[in-house]
Amino acid sequence: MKKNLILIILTGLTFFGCGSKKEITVPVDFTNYEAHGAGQGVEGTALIKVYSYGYTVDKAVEKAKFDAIHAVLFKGVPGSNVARPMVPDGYDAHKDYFDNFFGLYKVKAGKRTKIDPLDLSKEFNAPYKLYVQLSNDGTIDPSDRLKVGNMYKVGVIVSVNIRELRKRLEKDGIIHSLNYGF
Amino acid sequence: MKKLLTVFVIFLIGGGIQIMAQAKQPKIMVVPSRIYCNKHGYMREIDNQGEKVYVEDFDKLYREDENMRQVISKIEEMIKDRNYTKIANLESVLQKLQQDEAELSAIQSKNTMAQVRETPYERLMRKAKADIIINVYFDIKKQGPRSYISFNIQGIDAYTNEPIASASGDGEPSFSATPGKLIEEAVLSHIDNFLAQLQSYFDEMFKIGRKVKIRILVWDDADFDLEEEYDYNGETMELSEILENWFYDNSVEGRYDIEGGGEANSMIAEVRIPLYDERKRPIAARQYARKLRKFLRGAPFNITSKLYAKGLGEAWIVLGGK
Amino acid sequence: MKRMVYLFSILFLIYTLQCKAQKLTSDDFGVSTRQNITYVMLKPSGQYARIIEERIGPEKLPHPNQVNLIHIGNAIISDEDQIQQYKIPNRIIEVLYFKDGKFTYENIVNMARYTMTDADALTFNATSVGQSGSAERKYYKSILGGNWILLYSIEDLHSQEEEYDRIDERNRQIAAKSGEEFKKVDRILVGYLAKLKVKLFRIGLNSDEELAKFEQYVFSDFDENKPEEIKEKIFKYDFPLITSYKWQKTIDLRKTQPKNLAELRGLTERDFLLKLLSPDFIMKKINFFIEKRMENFKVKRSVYETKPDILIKVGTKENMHTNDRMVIYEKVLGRDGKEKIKRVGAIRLIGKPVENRDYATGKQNPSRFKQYFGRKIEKGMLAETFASKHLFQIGYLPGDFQFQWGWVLKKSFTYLLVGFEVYPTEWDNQVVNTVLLHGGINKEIVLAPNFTLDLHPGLFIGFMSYGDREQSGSDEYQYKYTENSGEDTDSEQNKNDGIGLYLFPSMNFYVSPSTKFGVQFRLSQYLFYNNDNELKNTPQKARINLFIQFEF
Repeated sequence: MKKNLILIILTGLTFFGCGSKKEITVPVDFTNYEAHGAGQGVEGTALIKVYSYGYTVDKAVEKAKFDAIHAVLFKGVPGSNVARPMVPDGYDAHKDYFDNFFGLYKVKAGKRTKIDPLDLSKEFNAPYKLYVQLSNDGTIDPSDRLKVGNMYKVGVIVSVNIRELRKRLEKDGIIHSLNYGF
Repeated sequence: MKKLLTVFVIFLIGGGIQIMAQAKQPKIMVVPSRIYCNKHGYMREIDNQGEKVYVEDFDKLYREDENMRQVISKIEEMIKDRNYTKIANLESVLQKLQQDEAELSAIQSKNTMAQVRETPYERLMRKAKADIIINVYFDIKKQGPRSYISFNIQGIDAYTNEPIASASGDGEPSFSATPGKLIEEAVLSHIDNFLAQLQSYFDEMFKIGRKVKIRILVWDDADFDLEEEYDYNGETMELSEILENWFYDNSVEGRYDIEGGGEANSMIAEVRIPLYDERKRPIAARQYARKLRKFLRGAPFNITSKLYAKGLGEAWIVLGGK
Repeated sequence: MKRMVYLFSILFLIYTLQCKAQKLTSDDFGVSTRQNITYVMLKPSGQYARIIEERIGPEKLPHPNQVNLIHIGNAIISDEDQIQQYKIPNRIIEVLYFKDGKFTYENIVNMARYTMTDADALTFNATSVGQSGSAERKYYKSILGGNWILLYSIEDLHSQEEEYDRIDERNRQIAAKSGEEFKKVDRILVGYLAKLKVKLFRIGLNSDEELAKFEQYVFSDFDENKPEEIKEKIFKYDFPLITSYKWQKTIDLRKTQPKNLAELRGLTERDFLLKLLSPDFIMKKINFFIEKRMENFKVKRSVYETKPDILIKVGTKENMHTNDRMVIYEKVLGRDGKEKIKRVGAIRLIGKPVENRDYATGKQNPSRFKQYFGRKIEKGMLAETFASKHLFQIGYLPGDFQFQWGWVLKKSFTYLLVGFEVYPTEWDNQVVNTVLLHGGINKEIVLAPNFTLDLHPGLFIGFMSYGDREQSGSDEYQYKYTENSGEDTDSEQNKNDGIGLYLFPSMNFYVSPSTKFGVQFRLSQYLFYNNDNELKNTPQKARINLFIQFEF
């Protein structure tokens, strides 16, 4: 009887575990990327090499674009012309704005659900995508592609239009322009 | 209710803009660094009261150096791109200076304060009224047959001569790029980082004021020095102590610093002064020092003094005479 | 049973060796750039020396496929050590830096443009300095670091007539020793025989340190206007030379006399030799060796797209042809935290290879490929060319032994197969040994990755021999047979000649890009003369044969 009881409890726990697992949304892991400068691009842009993770190579590339903008805004990219973060206040100071900017929430039938940045498709659309593009024709260098467990770590060079990005953020009152206050 | 709120918000924003609009933008001037001028022979010898000194010959530089001109105009362009328009162009300042040659020679100091005399460089700066000087240095170097650019850009606060932003580095060596391309690359890859630092400098300035240097001296023939004691506000204190207290009271958030210490007849203070006085007029070291002078003229000190403004960020007050 | 064990151990050994040979190391993992090669010939000796030199001297050889050719003038030396003595590396590097006696980067920049993929070249020309500056440096390094010297020599060129004389001489000596009667060999063939020796050296500027050392030496106090000084410095520099590969092959310039006699009549010996000793022929040999053996000369590219077709940016510039194969690799992080290179699959080019310029400008999609082996292929994996020339097939069905040799026909994914086979059959109510020589083509059709259907129609000639049946174990038979030597008539055994047609369709399963197992359904029609010289059908039997096939 005692054994049975334990078994029942264990089974229950397992089910409980499974149930709760389904509801957990994957945390938005912004920091799981590496970015550094990749030479000087044309005027108004920054060339950044980003190593990102994704469940497929395409998704990792999409995540890399996402991460590139994130790096420019909040981390700064060493070795590039945006070594200092564009938004020194950080993400949380303008959380609602950036949630929208990165398209992190999907509203469907009045319900707000969080999007997993590791699972971005090519069709995914958010304002940040206006300011980033792959610097080449989409070819991935085989030596920048590493399979890690069931994920892929992919390195791509992206070009971020920092001039337009800055102008938008200035317009939206997130950052100051140089003449602010004068 | 909603309407009221909107009106309120508009009022707030409007008010904010109004206050901002009154503020005075620091003037920026891009200037080739001294070392660049020296390296490329843009120096001339002048006679400074019997002593031979070398000064930058910007006039010659503008006539001869295409590359530097390109760098300066590119930097100015990038700054303007950030909605920042208060830029003094060195070339036009030079032209103005030439027109006012007569005025220049008229500036002389009185009495024994010979060292207060301005060098041509300082004269230029005063004419340009630049608050921030951007010093540019670059050198196109050779690595074997390939050339690369070594670039340095430094922003200096004209008030304190303190560096406020800088960016430097070597570019990629190339055997086919022209100097013009190398320069363009160098400016593009450093200017954003430089301006980001400048931005944080401005942010800081709005928060804690400008930094100026006030030097207080006592005439040799004065019958007192900074160790003289006065009764002030019911306390007996040395003059230097009273001055320190004054700086404390009259600086932003009490930020001041006394350089050196203990000399009986000199004192140098670096003070964060507010950007504007009570009447919202922009103030610099001279205006600030005037306020101190006024304070010293009053009881119980009754000290007369002479005020020299050296550049914009430094003022000398010489106590014990005019 | 024992035989089976031996057979399969040998198969396993070949298989593992092959897998080992195809394994890519992490040093070689990465997109390839074109290498530079310079031909140097060892001075030929003997009576044909002048002809060899005239005909296949370094400057006569055609342009190789995968490399940039650097001519340094007449490069014939008499000794391997003379590579350094004659400053051959120095002359090569000098060619890179100088044009018309002037110091220039034109050559290197041009070569870089050719080295890069066209898409890269477009960006190289269009983008700002910073990007092209770093691209420039990358290609500059790869061009100076990728210089090779190919030293080749033709040795011991002699006529078939002389070869027969040599054989006779040998036989005479043997006969004299053993006291047997000496008999001259039949002189069937005409032509020539020679040995082609190839040795590959790399000018060791491929490491950053060596390159920096060299540049430090040559370009300290550099003055563009004094080219002579730079030249002198380059000439004095002691370039490290790395021996990379040695290879030797007998080249066969022989032809059977009866077939070509008419054609050859009227040709002088010299003309005949000139005809056989063609630069293309030599180049083909060298080229195959270069493409197959040396990692540096293989084309390596990234998989550009996988849906719906596998697209890779290779084309005519890389000398790709329809049905050329590539092996796909990827980098995987192992459990021990180390990066490993794993083979994922193999593909072959379908349709025509695309002009590189066309896909670079977006006029056309890159070349299309179809997978025939391996797991799922994804974007960004590394594709490497994979060349094979021969195949070898061993089959097994009870009591049967077969062996086939084939040639891979490059342009049509078809093999030319000739085989030798021994198997027992029933004939006139007796068990007889059948010895078959057969040949045909083998056309492969890919059904799905790893699975192919092969159609192998062909012809055979063969003979049967009656033999005694011996039992050597409970479930095994051994047969005695003799080979047809044409004149051997005193045997007690009966022999019957025959001819036939066959079609062997097979279902195959690839286990590596070049190894497959197959199940063959043998449908054949044999006609043999019986003892009364009547042409008779053999009893037809549809049989199932298991085989393994290697390419190398």
